[in-house]
Amino acid sequence: MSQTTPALPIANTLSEASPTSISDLFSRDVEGLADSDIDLIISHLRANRERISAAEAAGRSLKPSKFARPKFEPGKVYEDEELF
Amino acid sequence: MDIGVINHSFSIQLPSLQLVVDSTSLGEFKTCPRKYYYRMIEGWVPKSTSVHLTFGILLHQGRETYEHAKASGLNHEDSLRAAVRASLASTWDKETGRPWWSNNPDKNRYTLIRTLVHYLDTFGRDDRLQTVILSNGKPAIELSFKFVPVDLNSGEEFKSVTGEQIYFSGHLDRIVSLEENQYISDVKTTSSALNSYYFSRYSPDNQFSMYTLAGMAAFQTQISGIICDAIKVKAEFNKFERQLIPRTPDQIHEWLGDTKYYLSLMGRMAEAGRWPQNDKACHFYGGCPYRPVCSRTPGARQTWLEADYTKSIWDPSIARGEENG
Repeated sequence: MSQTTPALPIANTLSEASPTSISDLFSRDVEGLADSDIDLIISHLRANRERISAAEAAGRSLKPSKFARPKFEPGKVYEDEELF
Repeated sequence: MDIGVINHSFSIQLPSLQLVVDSTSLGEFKTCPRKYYYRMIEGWVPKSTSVHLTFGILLHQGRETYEHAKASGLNHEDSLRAAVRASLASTWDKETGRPWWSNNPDKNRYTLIRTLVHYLDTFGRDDRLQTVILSNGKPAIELSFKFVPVDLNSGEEFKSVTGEQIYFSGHLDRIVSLEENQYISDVKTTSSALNSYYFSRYSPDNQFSMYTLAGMAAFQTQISGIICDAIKVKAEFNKFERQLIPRTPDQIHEWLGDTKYYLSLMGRMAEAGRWPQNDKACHFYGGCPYRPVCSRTPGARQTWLEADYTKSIWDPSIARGEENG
């Protein structure tokens, strides 16, 4: 690839977010990788996706629904922003 | 042209006149004739390669490997492994013994492999789209096309101002069927949100209209439009959306008529040797790569080109897989 540079051998995101063994697999010539190594990379990526999906789902459930408004109290004077 | 390598998509009679036209060339011309002149006729490209272009090409190659593996009878897991292995190989520099390195946090080797795995898990495993089998018995995957466009009103073939034949050329990812209709399948990556506003950019769209026409003209298949798999690529995650981008026969008819007009303009500019700037398009797509040149006084531009750009020919007459510098 034309953008290859000798300075940094490993993709930046990986080194921060992944186990060392996966970083090691990414930093090796693919010719030296067995099918089981490729499967390990795929499993790692799938696990990361599930983790992020789970975190997103948890985050969503904590957010108030647009229908979850305070109960209307008769007699109380409401400002516009309280109602909408 | 002084490139030194012959670009076979151009006329011998009028060397600045393109005869084999793909959607990229046509798109550049529509955007700005001066941009088209610098890129397609003169062959200047910025010295630094666009990471977005590189990432897109690598992702398409990975997907191509997967589709070929599936078409040969392999299951999802084996096809995915083949695609990941091919992508790891294509991002490895054997000379230096190091991987492709990008300083873009969203588009680098890790996010490429991650995007490929998540995309194929999302749309590849139980794909509702069935790859069409062509009349020659081969799956309609990675198809280069080149055909003579025909005026649908007069029935006449498109000719240039020199009287030479005009061709449309390009490359289709895949022709697929879904519920008895047939479509071109294409993948796009973006950093934008995948909402209706994002997909609205494809109607109308030069590339998708030419692809629809190509599916009908070059492969004798009735095509109802494009199925666009859009992938949002960020450093931490991907999002995926699949949308149908329809094209009616009347829309294709209109596009073809407009394109004939644009091609006649292209011919007139080639004859006149004048490629005007469209100074309302300089900010498109994050800024035109030739704006630093066009912003200089005319007498200084050649010096800037020679300093900051290099030559690379774009020859749509060469099918994918053959050399195209």
